[in-house]
Amino acid sequence: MDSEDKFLKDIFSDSISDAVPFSFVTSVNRKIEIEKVLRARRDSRREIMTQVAFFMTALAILIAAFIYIGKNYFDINFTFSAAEKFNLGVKSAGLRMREVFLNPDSIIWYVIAINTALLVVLQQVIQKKPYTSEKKSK
Amino acid sequence: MCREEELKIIEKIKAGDSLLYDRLVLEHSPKIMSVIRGVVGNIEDSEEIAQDVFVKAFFSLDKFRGDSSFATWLFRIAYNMAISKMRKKRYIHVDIEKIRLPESVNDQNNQNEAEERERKYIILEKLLKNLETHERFLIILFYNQDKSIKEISQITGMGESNVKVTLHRIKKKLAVIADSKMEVSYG
Repeated sequence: MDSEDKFLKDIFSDSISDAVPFSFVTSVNRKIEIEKVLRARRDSRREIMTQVAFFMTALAILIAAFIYIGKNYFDINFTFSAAEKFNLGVKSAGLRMREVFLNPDSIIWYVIAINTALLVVLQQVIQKKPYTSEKKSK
Repeated sequence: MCREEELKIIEKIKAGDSLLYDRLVLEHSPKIMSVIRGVVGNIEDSEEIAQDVFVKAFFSLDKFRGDSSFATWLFRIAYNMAISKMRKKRYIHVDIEKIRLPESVNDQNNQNEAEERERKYIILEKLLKNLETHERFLIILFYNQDKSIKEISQITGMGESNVKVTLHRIKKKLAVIADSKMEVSYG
């Protein structure tokens, strides 16, 4: 340790207070409690958002599946009479969209999506089962 | 508190006995407070940051694996937090009056000692004002907390050789800043 080190050690070790206010621990505990509440709220919000997103996706897939099955296996023709009266380019846009989404190549992807959705639902159910049984036992 | 005892307490807190956390706060708060005071230079903000360090540590306790000491782990949180808060708030003022040690009765009686202490405060203020946040942290860890190069490396995430080089650079910088003061004090 050279003279510079000694000088700095002398200055730094002697001059900075390490006193802690009496209320320090209480303040930390209070902040922890607040943070716990905030985290719980955040978690529940996130869970709700996930459930909504999951529900919406499942619903969209279900509707798509119904339309596909209805059209191809039961010959149900979906027409929206009220919408047909208007010509705001919506109809042609809809037809173009239908061309994109309803062609023989895209059907295979729908089948894959439905299967994946079913697997996700199955996984969710299986995942929640031990948790609910644990809750019941408590 | 020895390391084994500390690890046992941490395990109990992880298991759910959160009341034991008070003991860790009481044990480590003076060191954390001292370092943050030196870095921030403002008593109200440093108290706030020190509290936040312990709150963050509480919620991150699951990540503590005991590879380093709990103090080192806490200092790492303090280092990251101090740097990010300083960046956000852009503290530039180091008010040594607010972080200095309280004067004892002996100091008041002993004029020379009081004068010597006063001189040290002035030098310290001048030194800290001219350093960046991470430089302050490094220098305080080294000279105030007596941390080794290895420990500082663990705290800051810098390599050991990088810590050595940085400390050397800071020392040179401080020597230039405090040159006149050093001569007056230690001539």
